[in-house]
Amino acid sequence: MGVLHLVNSTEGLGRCRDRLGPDDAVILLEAGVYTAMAPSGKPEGMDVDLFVLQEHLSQRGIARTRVRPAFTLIDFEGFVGLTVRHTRSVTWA
Amino acid sequence: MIDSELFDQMLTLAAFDQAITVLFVDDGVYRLNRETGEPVSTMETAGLLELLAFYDIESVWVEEESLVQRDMNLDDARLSVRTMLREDVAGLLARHDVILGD
Amino acid sequence: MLGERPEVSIRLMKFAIQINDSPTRSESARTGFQFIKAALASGHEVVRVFFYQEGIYNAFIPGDSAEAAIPDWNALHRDEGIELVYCLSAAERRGQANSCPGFVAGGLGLWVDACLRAERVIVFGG
Repeated sequence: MGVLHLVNSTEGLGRCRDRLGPDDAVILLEAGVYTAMAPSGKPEGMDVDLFVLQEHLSQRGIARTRVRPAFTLIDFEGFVGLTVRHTRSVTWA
Repeated sequence: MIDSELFDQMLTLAAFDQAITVLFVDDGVYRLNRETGEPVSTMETAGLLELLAFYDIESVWVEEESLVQRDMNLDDARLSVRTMLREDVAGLLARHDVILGD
Repeated sequence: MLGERPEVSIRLMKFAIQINDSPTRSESARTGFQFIKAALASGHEVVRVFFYQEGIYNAFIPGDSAEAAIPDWNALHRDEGIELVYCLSAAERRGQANSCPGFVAGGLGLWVDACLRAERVIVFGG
């Protein structure tokens, strides 16, 4: 089902934003996790499931209270689960 | 170097008879422009596009919005590159088993 | 009429993994390493790890199991039998020779072969 978009840079979220299908999901990794912070609510034009890797938030000292509610925090096991649920993936460096 | 390695992957996939689509988006569209296009490794982009054609990679697309945002149009581009709207990119990605970017 | 197939809680998958960044200049290699360990822990199979582009440096910089800053790929190969292939031409282009234990050199054909055998293809870095 759908495409899993791996976003590992701060520019990546903007690059995949308007290229998401209805069954897609986004996971923020590495420097991409910075884009999980910011105003509350869902990022505009991103009506898909949004995830952020907990480990990479912690490494950067970003508290979960600073993460937009639209994002679900997951661990590596959850990340693997997302790649199982989505038949394809694309990496936006 | 990275660019030519991305193309090497495409050509290897083509050699294994895999159906390949190439899509230029964002700054990638500069590679379609003879004036501003950066050389890809030692090969000119034109050479690469011809190489794609040589390997029967005929499905070559460029995203319309990426061109417009950079004041480019298809007259700047070459060969049989077709345009696609950004809203159709998600559908294109969903039709391919493996998606490789730079 | 046969009953419906029961919902399987964990679908076991075959993964092909590509690593495109150096272990010292980016975290992507470590992300990929941790992903693979989590996938194996969940019972999935990793068909092959292919090191391409800057990722070939993983085959030439020894892992550090103590610090865990640099992935210990050789341990993954030794303990889990995971096949580690670095792209020979990408390594030659970067002047690298004499890889670390656990790695073998190969061509892009081995990457395509892994993609064709795997059900999931995941690219880290690049």
